[in-house]
Amino acid sequence: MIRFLISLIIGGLVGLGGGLVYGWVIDKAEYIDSPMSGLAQSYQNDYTLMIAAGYAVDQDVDAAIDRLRRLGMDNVPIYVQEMTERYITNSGDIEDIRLLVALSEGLGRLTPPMERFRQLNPTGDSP
Amino acid sequence: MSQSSVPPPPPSTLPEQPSFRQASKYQQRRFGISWWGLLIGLVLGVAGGIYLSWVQFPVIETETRPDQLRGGENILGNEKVHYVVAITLAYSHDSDLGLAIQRLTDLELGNDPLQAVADMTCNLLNSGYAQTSAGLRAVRSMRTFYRLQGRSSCADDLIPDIVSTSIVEIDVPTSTATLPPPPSKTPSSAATTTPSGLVIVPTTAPQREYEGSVFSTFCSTELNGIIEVYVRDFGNREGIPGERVRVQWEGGSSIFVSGLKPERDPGYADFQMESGVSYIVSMPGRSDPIASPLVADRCTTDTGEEATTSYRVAFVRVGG
Repeated sequence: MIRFLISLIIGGLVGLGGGLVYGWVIDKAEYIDSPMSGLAQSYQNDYTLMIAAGYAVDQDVDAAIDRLRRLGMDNVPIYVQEMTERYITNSGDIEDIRLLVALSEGLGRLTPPMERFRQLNPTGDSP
Repeated sequence: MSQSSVPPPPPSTLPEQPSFRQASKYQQRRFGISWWGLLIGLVLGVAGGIYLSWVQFPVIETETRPDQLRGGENILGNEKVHYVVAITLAYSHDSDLGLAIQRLTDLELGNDPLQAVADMTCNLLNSGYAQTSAGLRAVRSMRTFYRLQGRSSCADDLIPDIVSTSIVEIDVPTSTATLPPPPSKTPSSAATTTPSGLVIVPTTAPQREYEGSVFSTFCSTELNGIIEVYVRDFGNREGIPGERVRVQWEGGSSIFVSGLKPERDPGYADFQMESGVSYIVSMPGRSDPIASPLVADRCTTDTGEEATTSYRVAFVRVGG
């Protein structure tokens, strides 16, 4: 009986380890009801750019903040500023940078690196 | 002789002895393991490990794809809907249909993602999402998007059309001061009025930087199927060059800039339509689209020739 119990425990431990490796590494549980905050970084960037484009259309800062809060950011202006500066540093797409700069400026976060990407509208006013 | 002196080799076993001894239960070599116990333990362990890793302590997902976002009946808690809102807002800025479709494809909204957008718009509208101005703008951007792709939903009827400011030309009589007439016994009007120029008055309170409207159509073989756009300053005094104007149609769009034909007007731009196609005109980021699409219908000129209807559109600045 003791031999059986020892074998059971050894088998259980080995099986448990195997099961955990399988469930955590090989075939992870796939979420289908994830919040926006769980989006992969590339999709978060894409979402932020879409919101920045929407801001370029409606100039509604509050709406942009509300939409970006869905990403789970504690401080939306700082998040946008950091993303904008990251795009500038990494030589991102110029149109993307302009959208982000405009949004960052709307959020009161226009920093020196962003200055040269500010877009003046043709009538000479700032956007 | 010599052979007889050698004793025969002894048999390996005596005939009465078995060739091997059957080990008794207590004489078997003991491995210290029960195969049945090990097998049962393995099965239970694997089951427990998978339960823990999938149910109790699943890996915290940080690489979610858009199709894994929360869906469901609760439209306001539906993350896919908010992602779609972002897609259509971006589309209202860049008019990049290919990119918008790609993003919708990432969401895996079913066989017809465009109709899914239309259905979501209807559900959003019924949820009260459009009670705020930002929500209403978002819903309108969704509606514009799916209508341009030929889809429809209940939102077509529920959302009030964008209130465009129709330009009304009013003759405003202005008084011209004249010398007071000499006293006479016959009373006469105190002042003579002379008609002045046309004053363009918006009929609704402006909400955007520019308000656009169609102010005339015409039928000409020389200007066949043309959208003439005039971007004007506040009060309709002067044309404004360098402003972007966008024309969208099913499956495409074009952005051009006012002022490229200054001989016509500093704020003039035009666009050649294709017969039978509907077009929506707007100034991206500066005006709402003109409410009714411009349809390039066939028409007959004064001389009886066949042509395509042309439109004159004005975007007038609503602030000083």
